[in-house]
Amino acid sequence: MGSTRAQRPGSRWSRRQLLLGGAAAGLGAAAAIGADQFVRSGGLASALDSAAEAVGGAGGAGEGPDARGGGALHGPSTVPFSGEHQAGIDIVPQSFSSYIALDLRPETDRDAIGRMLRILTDDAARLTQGEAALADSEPELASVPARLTVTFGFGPELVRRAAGEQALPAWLGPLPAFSIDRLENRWNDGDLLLEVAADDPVTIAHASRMLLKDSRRFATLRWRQDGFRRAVGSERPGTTMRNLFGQVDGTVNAQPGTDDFAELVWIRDGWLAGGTSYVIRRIRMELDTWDELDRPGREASIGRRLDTGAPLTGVNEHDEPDFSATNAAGFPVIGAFAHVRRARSDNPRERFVRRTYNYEIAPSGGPDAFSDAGLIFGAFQADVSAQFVPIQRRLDELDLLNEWTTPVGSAVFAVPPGCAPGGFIGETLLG
Amino acid sequence: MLPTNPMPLESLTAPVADPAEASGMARTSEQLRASGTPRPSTRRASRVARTVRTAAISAVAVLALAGCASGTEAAPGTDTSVAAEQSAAIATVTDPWVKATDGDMTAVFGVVTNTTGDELVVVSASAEIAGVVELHETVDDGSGSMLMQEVDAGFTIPAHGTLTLEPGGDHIMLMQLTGEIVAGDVIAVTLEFADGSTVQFEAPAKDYSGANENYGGDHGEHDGEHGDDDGEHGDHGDGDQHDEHGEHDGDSGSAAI
Repeated sequence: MGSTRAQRPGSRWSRRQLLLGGAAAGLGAAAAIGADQFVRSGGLASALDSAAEAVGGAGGAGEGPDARGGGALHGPSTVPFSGEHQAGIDIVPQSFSSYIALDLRPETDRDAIGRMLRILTDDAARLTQGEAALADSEPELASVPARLTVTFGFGPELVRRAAGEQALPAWLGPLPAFSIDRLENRWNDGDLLLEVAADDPVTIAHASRMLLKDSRRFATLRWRQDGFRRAVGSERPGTTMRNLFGQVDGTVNAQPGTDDFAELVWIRDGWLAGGTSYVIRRIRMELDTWDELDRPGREASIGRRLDTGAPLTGVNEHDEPDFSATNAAGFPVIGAFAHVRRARSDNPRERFVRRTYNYEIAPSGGPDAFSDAGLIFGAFQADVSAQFVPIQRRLDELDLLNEWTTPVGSAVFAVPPGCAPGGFIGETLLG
Repeated sequence: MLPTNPMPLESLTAPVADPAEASGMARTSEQLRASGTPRPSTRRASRVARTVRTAAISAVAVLALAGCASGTEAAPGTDTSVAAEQSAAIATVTDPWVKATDGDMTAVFGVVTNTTGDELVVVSASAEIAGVVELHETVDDGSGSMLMQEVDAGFTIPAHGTLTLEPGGDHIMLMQLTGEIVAGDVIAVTLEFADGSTVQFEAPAKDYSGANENYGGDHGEHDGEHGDDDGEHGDHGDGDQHDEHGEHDGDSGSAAI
């Protein structure tokens, strides 16, 4: 954001405070145009100035934590650990997330699972509040929480060992096979998921190491997927992310804190009440062949403009697509094969909430390979079979975007509810 | 509609935390708002989460026996069990933990806070799982090596002060263990003070690769206590660690690292 940091005399809130406050300040003008285009146009600066006056009135300059536009540090920000739901779900996604899947050792029985989860819960509860864990050999690395969350998920084997086959929800297990899948076992499944997310990657490195050290006697590392989005401060909070195809990705997605979100995500019964399910699919992007596709073709494959994320039939990012619109030649503006058309169904129950991150790792395909990148596609829903699978099936049957994407990993986890201070994640399963 | 925490956090029973931690609370609420992440009762939850230990295995001092809260000497013959119901804790123990081991000895760590206006002296400690418990300090032997030795005079904690027990520093040694201590176990430890009063706490066991000091041949084999550290014996490369274990008959002496 190239605008100056000067504060208009008389406005109570500096521009930067409003930037950090994001949605709370009600920047409706920016939302209407959409995405990061507003920033580039320079509109953001003037909109924030207007909003500053509207929100703060003509109060004296110099109030609030940042009168001169210098900005409070983001590092001390914390997300509460305790609660009805686990943290890290109903939240604006942090800039970085590491997904870690562990396999239980053969000797890790029900009692050991309980001990492990108590230890890991204690580690997470401390680290997310900016405190060192017990026996933390690098306590200084814990002092910048940066909105750290640790979210636990259970694979079928952990549930089985903890409480028997009867405790498994029907949907807990690998997804049905799809024809587009090219799944590699090294990115599939897992007994225990730890999603360690924060706005600072050093924070994640420390937290994940602490959790892994404490897991070591109970489990082995199965896979780790590290993802990234825009860093804090790069864009206005709430800006829909872009994937590495350059597409605005996630426009239609129930927002954290809304009734829609809660309705789609939270399970209501049994030991998972207050929890949810988590589908994590690793989608490789074939960027070399994507390079061969020109801009119009790219936009046709998804059904949205690349610049604003607006549907091809609309103007603004959040415009509803008009699937019946046709062009002069009588063909649908949004093609039958377009991702935006295929990714939705007439059944409003067939929806889930996405939490996605970009990934990029060193390629392994020989000397001519120089890129291995894609999307870590996470989906929350109360019922995988009812809400996720039908959509994935539609996409499997027809979605032009499949030409340039390949699912190479797939895992499903049961996400237990949160706990109160003194409790531990998994207590509703272990009793 | 955001999910709300149905459990009133204030009602949970974990006692007051280490006062040194309390000052860190206030910072979180401002930044929570600034981060744009609305969560109900975030401010309260984050504040309380910082003062209340947030997991089952975190433990603080449970009670103090004997009526010496004011620091006065207990009269001979004082019924300590009656006094226990009346007295407040003379000391609290926060963030205690014990290093897991399948060997013969291990160490207990944590922060002991003297809540009274008088000096306290920890003269000894006991634990059911240990045949012998000693108070140890770690000192520089002058040549760059760290030396562990029993503190005969005990640990003195000034009024309203703290005693930090940590790897590489003062700690409580549990020796002649009656069983394996596995990560996740909870070990009860009792501190005994000069005036006869005691404070009991529970220390969760955690795997830890450090704190590998060698404790002396007479108290059992050396190998066992390192079984959990993935073969990392970095602290023992010197070769001069098995000195000074001569006399151990009823006297723990000192152990060189």
